[in-house]
Amino acid sequence: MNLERFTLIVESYGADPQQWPEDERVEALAFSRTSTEAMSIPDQEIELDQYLALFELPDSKPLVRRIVQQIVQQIVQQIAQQIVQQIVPRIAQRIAQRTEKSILFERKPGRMEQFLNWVLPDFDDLAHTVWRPALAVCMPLLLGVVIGLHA
Amino acid sequence: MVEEDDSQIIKQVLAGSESALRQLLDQHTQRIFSYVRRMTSNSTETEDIVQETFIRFWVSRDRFDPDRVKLTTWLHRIAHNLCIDYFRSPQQKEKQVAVQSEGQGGQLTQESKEDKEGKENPDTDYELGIRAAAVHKALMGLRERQRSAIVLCHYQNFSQQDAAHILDLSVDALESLLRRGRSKLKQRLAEELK
Repeated sequence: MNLERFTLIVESYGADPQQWPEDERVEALAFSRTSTEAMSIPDQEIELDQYLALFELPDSKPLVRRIVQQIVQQIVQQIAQQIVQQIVPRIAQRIAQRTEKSILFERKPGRMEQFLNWVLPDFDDLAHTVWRPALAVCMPLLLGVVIGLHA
Repeated sequence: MVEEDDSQIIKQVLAGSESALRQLLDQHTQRIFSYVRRMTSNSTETEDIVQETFIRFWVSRDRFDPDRVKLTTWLHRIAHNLCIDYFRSPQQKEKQVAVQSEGQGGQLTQESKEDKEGKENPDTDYELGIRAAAVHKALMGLRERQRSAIVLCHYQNFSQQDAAHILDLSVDALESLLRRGRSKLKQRLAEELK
């Protein structure tokens, strides 16, 4: 410790040794007693320390309690949003997978449908919904025509 | 680095526990509030910045390493960065210019005066109110980094290493800021309280 370092410490941290760097505090205190010049340096900072102590904050406990509540609410909302963002797509994916499975594996075509598939392959939706029932309706008529021709 | 009381609660918070988060907030919000309030001296902005500090901590909690830095230092660093963002906002820059040129004390000064009113010795209280207002005004007139260094070391009682970490500076640079800040404060107070 020398006068230059001691002056820098006091001018930076003030006259109160409790504010001085912990690792230099003992040495600086000892140095402050070595000369009248060193002793006078803290005196120049005492006044500013006293002024700084006047800068008090108004009581803020109710406001701080309110802030804590608001923070908790915001974070809980964020957690809920994250859960929704993570879970909803998973549920949707599972539903889609199940629906796909039911379409692929659970639907069994009837005999008539198998016969119609053989007569008229399933080449598009229109054939499936219109032409096949129409053909089925025409079958007895065709059968009558065939019987009439052979009679 | 990590303090005894904090270690368990931090683990729980990092694991996503809401009750641990509430406990953490109860322990640290008042201190962060005091820092931000002294930096901004605006209650609405203080409220927003304090909230945002903890939300940011929560969102990026995976980045916090309790073995490397104290929780309170980490939170102050987030709060400090948010204060700097606030000071750099265009509206705030205009306000700062107005306060510095017109010499207005701001809302906190008014509150300090009101707090002092109605006490036993009105003359002494008035005198103290004037001085407190002058200190507040002088502090608010400093550059943000100088003010932040003084608030962290003088009011928040941080060690020079922790204060330097919060400001992202070396200890030497912090001491330089403190020294210049205190010197300016002395000058301004001398002018104010002639």
